[in-house]
Amino acid sequence: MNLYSLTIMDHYHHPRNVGKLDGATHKADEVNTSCGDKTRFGLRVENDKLKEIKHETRGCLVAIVSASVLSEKIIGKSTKEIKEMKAEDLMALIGMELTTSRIRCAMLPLLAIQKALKGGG
Amino acid sequence: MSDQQKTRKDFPLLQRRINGKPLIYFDNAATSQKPQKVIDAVSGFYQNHNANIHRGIHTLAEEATDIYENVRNQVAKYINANSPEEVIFVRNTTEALNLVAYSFGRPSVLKKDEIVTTIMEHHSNFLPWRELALENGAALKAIDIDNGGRLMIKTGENKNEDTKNKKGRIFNHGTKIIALTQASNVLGTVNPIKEILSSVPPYTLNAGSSPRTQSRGYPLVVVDGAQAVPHLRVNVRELGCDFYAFSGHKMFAPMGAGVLWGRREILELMPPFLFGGGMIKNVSLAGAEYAEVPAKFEAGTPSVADVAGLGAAIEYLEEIGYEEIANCELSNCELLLGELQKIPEVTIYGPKTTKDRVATISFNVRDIHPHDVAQFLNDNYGIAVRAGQHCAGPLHERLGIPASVRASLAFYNTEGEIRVFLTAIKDLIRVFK
Repeated sequence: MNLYSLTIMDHYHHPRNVGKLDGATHKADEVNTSCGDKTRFGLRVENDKLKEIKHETRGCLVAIVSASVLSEKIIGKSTKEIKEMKAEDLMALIGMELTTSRIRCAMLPLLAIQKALKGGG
Repeated sequence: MSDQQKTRKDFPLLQRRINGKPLIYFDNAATSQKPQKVIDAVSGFYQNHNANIHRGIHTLAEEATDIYENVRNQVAKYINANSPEEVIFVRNTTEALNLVAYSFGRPSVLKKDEIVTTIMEHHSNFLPWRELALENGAALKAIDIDNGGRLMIKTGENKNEDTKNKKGRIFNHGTKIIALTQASNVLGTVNPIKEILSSVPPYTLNAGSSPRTQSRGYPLVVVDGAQAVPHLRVNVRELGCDFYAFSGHKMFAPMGAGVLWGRREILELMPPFLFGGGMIKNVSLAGAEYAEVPAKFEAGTPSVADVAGLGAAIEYLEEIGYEEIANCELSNCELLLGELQKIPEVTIYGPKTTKDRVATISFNVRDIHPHDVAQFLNDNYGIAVRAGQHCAGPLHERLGIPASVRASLAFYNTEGEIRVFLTAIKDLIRVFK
């Protein structure tokens, strides 16, 4: 998908699931040290399944869109499934063609989510 | 065909297309493209002369040595050094500055001494001094900039009074080293090195044979010339510094060959930085005696082919001429600065006119992340710019921004390219709105 497609730009201008999650069972922050992008995720997990998710992301288009798309698409998945997600899975999910340096931008939200589930946050 | 169109043909890479668009290469402050002459010098070395230098008796070793040493002579003339022995070949500016910090700095900077640098330094002229200060218990001070991106060097002008004593000088009794850049890799500012150093008496050598005995006297001055040599005629003896460092790859030479120029009498009293082959007089189990300068500082097999390329690049620059380079770059810089300032969403960091400036312009577009700017320009217009902190963390902190976009021009960039760039920035703002 083109980086500036309508869907992508819509996620950029109106990211989904933004904010603080009251009653979160898991939380984590993650920073991309190469550019200073920051994200904070709150997750509510019930019976090992992701029920609710919210995030506050400050960063580039790729990081914001990745956080927004992820927050929609991983709801209902098992924590095991989410913890095992790799860069390729994320790329397939968000549908962006990215070069090496930008893959790091896209990975920021996933790393935060996985950190939260592993109890690192 | 204009002269510029002809010189563009010298650079094979400039013919490339990126995402279906002709490449517009505005990342020259990171590294410049290479003319065919330089590429030929490198491949010619491997095709016809490849051998290790020094002490080989065979023909190839003699040829390789001659190529290497001739470039040393060429560099010495090019920067107006006193002698070729003052020219040390290194990989790049970073290595040159580390050499000075380790070999001169470690033994001579003592507890409570001070090192003065500036807020606009590249990490390569900041971190070696920071580490040295930490290790030896010295203070590291940075000269601040004004809102126009110029160093505050006049009396009373500097908010950070720490970097000046009562006489308004940039050094104090305990200042051992002053390390500053000639041109900023972010702001494009060209610092008036001669003027700044006019208040610094020449570094004088005390009797003795090691930097350790140099505990009194005036500070040693180290200048980072990496962003200056591709744009300005540099005369190291006129500048009034003791060391001058630059990389070949930003001045159309290959990556892998850089230069540290130093005053010979200072180089002579410094211990070697790296030990190994090529830098000794004789070695036995009982002891070792090291070679004279410059060999003392060139341990191990150097990148001879890249040095050959550096020689070709200097020849190429001399053919074009610095006057022509400045004409091309500064007229495009003026156009770019003027037009960018008309776009309300754009903030430029650094001088807004071409006075005492190189054509390196850093900016941000309101509410658009620098990475997104760079990606958009690349994907849609084939424009190469850099986004990030450009190895200048302290400067970005001072400017109060996490990152910036940098467009840096060379003489081969055209007015047409500037126009496409300006269109691209307006398109970016439209798409991201």
